[in-house]
Amino acid sequence: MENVPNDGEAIRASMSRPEAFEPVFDRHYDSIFKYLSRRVGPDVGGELASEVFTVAFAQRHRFHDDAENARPWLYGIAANLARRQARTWRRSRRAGQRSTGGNVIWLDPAPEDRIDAERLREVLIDAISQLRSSEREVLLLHALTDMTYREVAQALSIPIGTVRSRLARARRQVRGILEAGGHPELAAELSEEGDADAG
Amino acid sequence: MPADDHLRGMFDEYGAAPEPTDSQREGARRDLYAAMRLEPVLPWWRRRTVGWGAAAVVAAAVFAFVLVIPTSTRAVDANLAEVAAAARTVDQVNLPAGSYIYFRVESTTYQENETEDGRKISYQLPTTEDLWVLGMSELRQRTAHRPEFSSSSDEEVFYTSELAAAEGIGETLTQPLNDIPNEESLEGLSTNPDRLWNRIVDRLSVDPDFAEDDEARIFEHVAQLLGPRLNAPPALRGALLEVLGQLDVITSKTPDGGVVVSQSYSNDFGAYEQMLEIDKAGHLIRDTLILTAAYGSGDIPVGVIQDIRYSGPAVVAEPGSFPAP
Repeated sequence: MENVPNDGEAIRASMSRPEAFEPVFDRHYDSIFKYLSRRVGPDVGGELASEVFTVAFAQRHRFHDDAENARPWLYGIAANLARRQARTWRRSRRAGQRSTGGNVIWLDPAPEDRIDAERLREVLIDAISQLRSSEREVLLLHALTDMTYREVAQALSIPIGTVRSRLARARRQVRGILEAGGHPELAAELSEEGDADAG
Repeated sequence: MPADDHLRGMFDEYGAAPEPTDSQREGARRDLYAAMRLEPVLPWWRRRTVGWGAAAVVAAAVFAFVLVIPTSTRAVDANLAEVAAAARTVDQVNLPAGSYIYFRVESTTYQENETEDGRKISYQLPTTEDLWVLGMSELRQRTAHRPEFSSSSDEEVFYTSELAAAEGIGETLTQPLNDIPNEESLEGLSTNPDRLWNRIVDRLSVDPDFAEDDEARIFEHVAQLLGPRLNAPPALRGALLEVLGQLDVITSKTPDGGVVVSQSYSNDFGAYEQMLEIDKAGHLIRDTLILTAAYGSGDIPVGVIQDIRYSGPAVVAEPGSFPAP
């Protein structure tokens, strides 16, 4: 069986053979695309997902030498690009230009078979929009990917304890907003504290 | 169930996260290939692993030398000393805040490549790069020209396979890059050649494989510091040339008052001669690498494997603009 290099090995090899970086792309492109599509919509998300890998390639000397998995690092780059996109949209709105995006998270238009889905969607987007950006970033990285607390901490270069505290605050606040918005059933779902992630 | 799984479930109410289409994925892959082609890499023939035998002999000799004779008494090659003195008298190029250093790199590089169905070919690939550098940011514009082949069969394979498209022949790629590491920064470098020598050795010593007597690595580092990207000031260029002149090099004057410096080294793949051409102002204008003997498989032809010509650095106000002729 062919010995496929792990991310760390591929990145180290790519310092002298650029093409050795390609397995990192093959392994992570789809999941990075999905995360960014959720953050900024599939069109812009596709462009940013491509940029994640060109940025990662250009900055691969910064990848932690002994790490085997590039996933947290790539998500960290993706989160930065999503924040940059949000700033661009905010500037466009301030300048009075039409902006095709700008929500803090992208959700499909409501399914036709759910009468209240559109309203629920607005409530959810609104709740997440009201979070502090630092808390929102942690919540979305954890909820939109299957990364552990430790990986989220690596992606954002913050201590794992900070990930836990920001997540707890974010959930509490989203719960409160959902209750106030007339969705106690959703708030109740978020009140479960079964935290299976040991990081 | 963890709370975030519920949140994830709510998001999924609006459909699963979209999958990339094949064209999006392949478009992203093409972008990555373009980034790979744009990057200068350290190819196998630039890796300066001195053989153990040679290293031991040189190490013993230099160790004895260092013990007995202070560094400051190293003799400086006369040709390099002369150009170094001239370089120190050149006026400093003024770089106004926000201005860019522009330079052009024209190179021809020996390439070995393999088609998807396993056919190996080789060729000399000429490229032209225009670079605009401001601190750790740069704009790079690269054009790959038609390669030169040593056989018509290689040429046919190249143009009938995917390799021509992969090399981007005839295409001009433009790439802005930010936060480029400046590993060859001029920070902390002295214009006193002895202190500069020690500083360079200190820098290279970060690599545990570096030995103080590794002249090939010192030569390579000085070449990078003399390159147009860093736009070293005249006094520092003079000191760098004096450091070069303390190495075991061969020099010859050029008709226009510059100097050619050459040094030999070897690694697991072969023996090499690297030649730097320095103009009379102390700018690196040409860097040529010649394979003088091939080891191992022996299918690498002896001869020039990379020839790089640099235009001198010029100051421009905007990236993408060119200096006045």
